[in-house]
Amino acid sequence: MTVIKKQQSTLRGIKASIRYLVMSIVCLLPFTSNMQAAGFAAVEIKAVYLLNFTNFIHWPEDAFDDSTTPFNYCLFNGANSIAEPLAEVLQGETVGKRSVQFKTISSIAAIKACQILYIGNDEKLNLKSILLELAGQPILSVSDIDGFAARGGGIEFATKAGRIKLLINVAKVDDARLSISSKLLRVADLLNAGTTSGESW
Amino acid sequence: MTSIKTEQDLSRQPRLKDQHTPLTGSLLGFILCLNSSGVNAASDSLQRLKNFSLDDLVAVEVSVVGKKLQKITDVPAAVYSLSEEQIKASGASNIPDLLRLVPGLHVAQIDANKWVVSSRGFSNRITNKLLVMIDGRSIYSPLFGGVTWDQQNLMIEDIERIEVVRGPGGAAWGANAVNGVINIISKHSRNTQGGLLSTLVGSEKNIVSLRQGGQLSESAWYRVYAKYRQHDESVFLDGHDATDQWHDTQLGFRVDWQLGNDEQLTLQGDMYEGDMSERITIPSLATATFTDIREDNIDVSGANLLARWSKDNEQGGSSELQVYIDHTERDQWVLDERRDIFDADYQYRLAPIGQHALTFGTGYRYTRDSLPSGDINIGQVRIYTPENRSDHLYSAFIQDDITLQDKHWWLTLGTKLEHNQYTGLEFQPSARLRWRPVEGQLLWGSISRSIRTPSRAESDGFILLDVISAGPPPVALLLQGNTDLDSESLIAYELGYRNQVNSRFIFDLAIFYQDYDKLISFESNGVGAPPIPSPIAALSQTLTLDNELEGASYGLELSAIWQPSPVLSLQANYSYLELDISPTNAGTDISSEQQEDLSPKHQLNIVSSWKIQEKLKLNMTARYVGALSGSDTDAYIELDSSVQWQVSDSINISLVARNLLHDEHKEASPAVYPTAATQIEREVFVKLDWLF
Repeated sequence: MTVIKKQQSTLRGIKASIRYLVMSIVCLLPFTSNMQAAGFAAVEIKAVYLLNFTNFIHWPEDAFDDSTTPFNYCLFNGANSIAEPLAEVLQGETVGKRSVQFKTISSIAAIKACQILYIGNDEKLNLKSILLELAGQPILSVSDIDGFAARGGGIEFATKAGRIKLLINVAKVDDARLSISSKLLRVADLLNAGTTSGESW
Repeated sequence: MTSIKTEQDLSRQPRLKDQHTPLTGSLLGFILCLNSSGVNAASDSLQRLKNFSLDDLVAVEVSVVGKKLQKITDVPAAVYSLSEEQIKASGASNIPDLLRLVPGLHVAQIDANKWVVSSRGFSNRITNKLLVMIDGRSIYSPLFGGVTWDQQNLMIEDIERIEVVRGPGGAAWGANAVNGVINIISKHSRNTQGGLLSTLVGSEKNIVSLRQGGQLSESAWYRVYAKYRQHDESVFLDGHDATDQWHDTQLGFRVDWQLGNDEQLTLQGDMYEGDMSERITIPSLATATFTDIREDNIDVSGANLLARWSKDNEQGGSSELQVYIDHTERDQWVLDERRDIFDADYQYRLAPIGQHALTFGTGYRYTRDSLPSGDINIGQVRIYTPENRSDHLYSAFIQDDITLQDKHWWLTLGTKLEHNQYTGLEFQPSARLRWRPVEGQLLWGSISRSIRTPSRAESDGFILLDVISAGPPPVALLLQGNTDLDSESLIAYELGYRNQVNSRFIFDLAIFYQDYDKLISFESNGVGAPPIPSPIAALSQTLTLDNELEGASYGLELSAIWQPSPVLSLQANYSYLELDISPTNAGTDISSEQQEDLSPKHQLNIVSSWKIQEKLKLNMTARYVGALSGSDTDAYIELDSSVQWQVSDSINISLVARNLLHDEHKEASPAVYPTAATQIEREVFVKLDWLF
């Protein structure tokens, strides 16, 4: 008797649930049609961004020792999970006529030879000293540390609504004498953009 | 005290500086953080991505599949962090169910709206040796210790992670962090931009939540949310409905400002109201059976507001200030409480000087309450003397993290000094040594002292516990608080070892020996005339609280994570606990030995997460919980499963079935409080998340 009662109430609950669910789905249907699904690991997306930056950012010639110096991507430090996909993405790539070299570094002293420096989350507490060392150098600093751009970094990967957005500290990138294409600026959120016009091209 | 202190920067430093980055970024790093990222740098997906335009890249969604075992780093304590991805994959729809996934914690559901969550023993409705916080705001009850889990209704989708420390945390967190600390950390509002409508419908409950996030200015973000949940009743062993249905509503917001390069401000608040039922069996002198069954209503409500400011200075030090107010109300048969808490906490971390990294902190807490007595005429015997009480608590904290040998040996010394109005000055020191022989391995050991201060009820309460009807006249068993109680104290010895064997296998082991002193006991004062009016001729026996119990526990907690392939990850957690409690030479309380067996000796969890396809994931959790012989609860094995289907960029559907192996099972008996224990039923629910 009691068992029956319980089953009935469960059944009632399930029926009500199904009705509710069907209604929810029907209500939502019109919104779902146009959305395409994707889904890549965050580090993969970041790695491809890093590769693409060289198409939209221009480094001054004095950033390199000579015309044969490779274009250096540095990762600070190698324990970061981006190491694997980044190495793979950069494999065989070139920037202009320069070959691309990928290295992981673990000391601040080694950053001067870098053109793009990716600072892993692990280095958050060293961030200040790293950024101090970077000041005025023709190096693009990139990180996913929260508040990176606001704290004086170049480009921050900010995860928003499940997507990786770019937050560019325009003044810092200008300081580094890098010029950013307006195409890149258009898709990014900008910090300190008002001060200089930048050399957009 | 309440808010998070930097013992080994377990929580505070990274959390304050950076609300949404896992602890991996902290000074001493963290371990076992499972982050979404591709170990599986699957070449084809990278090649596809390389062909994307910039606009495509901006729009591409980050997948939340593929857990990765991150580098094991260096916290010299038994710590665990439950990540956002684990939370989502588990399909759990409330905090206690999430905590079942944490190694070493014991979670048991008493009825539809009550849970026990404990660490290293003493599982009870009043698990008073575990400190729990939400974003640094303590939800530990000053009235009875423990946490009213039914009053915590934050949006699961907005939880960034849950950090758990097992073992003493008093040196950093202050009193009541005796057997562990749990801190539930919500997402930075920058990470909850846009809208989310989440609808859960199921056999036992329905939940709907709505959140909207946006940007106030270039450097300020906000979110607001509302959540309603409604739970059906559970059943008694005889199949009858347990009349413990409930519903509650919570509203809240959070605003984050980036004030300057190194300066952040957060303001957040919540308000809630809930209505629960329970069946209680109360002792009574007015009935022939000396018990009375009542359908009790529990009305709860509350509101809180918290502000947190942090700033890094140029030299690498930092300051943090956190202030909150918290108002709670709870009205039920056994208590009618209104409480206000004001808490302020400041911490200053110096830039490292030579081998030393020093942190100082200071805090103040004010609490006032109102606890009206029950109606003795209907047998509601609960009297608090005084009825209204306010307390001040002052605290100071110092810690030095000393590098003994660069990159290999560290020693952390710290202590908390607290002055409270129950026991006066309390001292909670800790020493932790850690050794990193090679990158990826850590061996640590610690000795620490923690205390639990007497709760308001233990100090000032007076309740009718039971009526013993052995022979006429009946004897009323009364429980009398004691204003002279000392703090319960613990000295704990812990050892731990962590090893990230390779990128696919990692394990973490902690063993402990904990020596308890001055545990609360019930001392009988003999039989006499009742101190309160009685409807019939009766005698009474009064049990007065004292500190005449001592105890010791030892055990281990083991967690291992193995990722055999990019699409499959397995985690196993095992814990073993032996607890021995006995009266001191001066004590007479032999019944409290029952507490030894309120927690399972053995617990085993196995979690498998399988990414069947890019958009389809299956998560299965098998749980074994040993018998609780102290509360007449058998061992059980249960299985939970959750299927997550990412239908599109903005739609996620999950199908969750919990407690698959049994129609119903019992997980705990309520001790002390007269709630009737119920059977927890199998449940199935569907959840639909729509991002807009």
